[in-house]
Amino acid sequence: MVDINLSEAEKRYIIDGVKLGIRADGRGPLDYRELELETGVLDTANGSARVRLHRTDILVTVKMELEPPLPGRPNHGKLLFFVNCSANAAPEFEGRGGEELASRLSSVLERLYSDANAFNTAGLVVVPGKYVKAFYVDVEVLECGGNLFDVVSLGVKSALYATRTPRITITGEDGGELEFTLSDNPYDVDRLDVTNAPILITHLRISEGITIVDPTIEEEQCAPVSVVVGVAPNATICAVHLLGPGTIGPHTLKKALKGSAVLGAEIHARLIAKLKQEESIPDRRIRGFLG
Amino acid sequence: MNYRDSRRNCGPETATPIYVLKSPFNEKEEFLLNDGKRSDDRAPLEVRKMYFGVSNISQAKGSSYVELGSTKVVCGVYGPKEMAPSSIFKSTGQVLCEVKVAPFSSYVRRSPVPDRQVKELSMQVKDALEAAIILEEYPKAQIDVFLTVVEDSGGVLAACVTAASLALCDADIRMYDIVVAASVAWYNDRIYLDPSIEEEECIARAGERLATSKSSASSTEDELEGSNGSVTVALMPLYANGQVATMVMSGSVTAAKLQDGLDAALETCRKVYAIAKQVLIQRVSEAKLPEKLED
Repeated sequence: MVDINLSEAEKRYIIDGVKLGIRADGRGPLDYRELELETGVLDTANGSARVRLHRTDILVTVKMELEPPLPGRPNHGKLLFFVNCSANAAPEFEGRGGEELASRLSSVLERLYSDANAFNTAGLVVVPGKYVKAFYVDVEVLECGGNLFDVVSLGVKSALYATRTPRITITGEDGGELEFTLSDNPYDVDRLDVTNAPILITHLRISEGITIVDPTIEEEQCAPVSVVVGVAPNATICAVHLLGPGTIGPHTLKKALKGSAVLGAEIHARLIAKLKQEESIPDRRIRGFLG
Repeated sequence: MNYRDSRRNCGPETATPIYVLKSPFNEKEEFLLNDGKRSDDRAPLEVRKMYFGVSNISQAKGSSYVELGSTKVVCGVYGPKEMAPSSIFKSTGQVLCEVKVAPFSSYVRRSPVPDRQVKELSMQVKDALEAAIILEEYPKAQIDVFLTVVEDSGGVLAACVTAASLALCDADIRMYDIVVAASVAWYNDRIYLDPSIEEEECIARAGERLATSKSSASSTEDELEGSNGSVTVALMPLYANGQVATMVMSGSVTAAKLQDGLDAALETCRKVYAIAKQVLIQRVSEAKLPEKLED
């Protein structure tokens, strides 16, 4: 990922600290940092969210299009993920440099949301067999400062939660072509069901038996491999991906998987609570990028 | 799937592709038949027949051919050679891994242009190999690994990882251990080893069926949903008491079931390892040793 140069001594300091149960910023191995979250930051998208976790900054937008369905799936909508790692986040991403990370991220997201229990595309349909709703989820990595996968997944869930699409009604037919009407009422909207949408929890493997969650960018430099676990709100695991060129012992892996399920359920509950709280604020002023 | 081939005679816009109507995956709802066997006459914890061969490409430094059931993968390894001038400098060696899935490999014709799935496959294989190769031994060098999936009938990632590591051994690339892979699936809470493509497809749609049945018939809280999903694990069985190099899982599985499945996959990996080792030993013992130079 992003390279910051750490000396061997600095790495040793971080690793030995973790082994003693103390991380450089004072957290325990399974402590998450506070994150900033705001939805509805863009008017041009049906749904958007910006998440900031320490020095990682992600903007997620959701746009809906009407499209013909996939062959054989006339009653299913589509959910497509595109990730862009811009060179703003890291000079390594310049040109095609960010492509590998971006395609990794989008394929993990795709796998995460592929199970119908996680996100059911059935019913996102306007005219069966002809027009279904396709949701394009675009993720823009604005700043890359550690724990990217978790932040992106939180952003995607928040943006999907905040997505509102105008209600579509079929008003008539004109020469075989159907006519649609979009509701003018800004409160007459369709929303997506994200009650079961999963999130990712990354465990960085420091040494055999010891993993930490929510690693900082410095900690990420100290270990070659991390386990990215997709967790649904009911603590089932819906995706696992081993990231990086290192290896991990089976026991450490199992411990990380078990830990993620518990932690994931808790983060889900908190995220939804915060999103509901934000939603309940009347005439909420959007803070956006001004600080 | 949503791909129109302009070089063929296309049907009218409103036509339904034949593979949708005649797909062998559409009807399969039941995994286990009445006699406790799977549709291909296997027990749930039985793997398909496998075959490993090495040194099948004469031009390559090392090569291998792997069959898992009717999944067929060919692998060629070239190098170590000088790093491509365009690549980013690294003091250790680099692995270039490219998986090609042949257009004729599956029931539906695949585009020869690699799609996202194929690119992901390449990256996953590369991750497993980078963990296994002693890259410090090859400073500033590049090792090319090319894989072709001739037929895809399930377990492609597992077959690719095993094939690549056999070919690397055949090319005398120094590695910590042979990395072998196996896949395991869950269907209605039951574990199945080495799922075929029909089973993989069936599992992918299982979640959908569960979701629709849940929304139509309002289910009670105590009704547990079954675990459905699949996982592929790559293991180096001897290196540091067994190390997992790749793990790719999808579906929806409880943490406890996942651990059981993982154990089953690791056990299968160890069995695959024994076969791989045997094949390599045979290759070494059969190899012609260079004749001693006369003084």
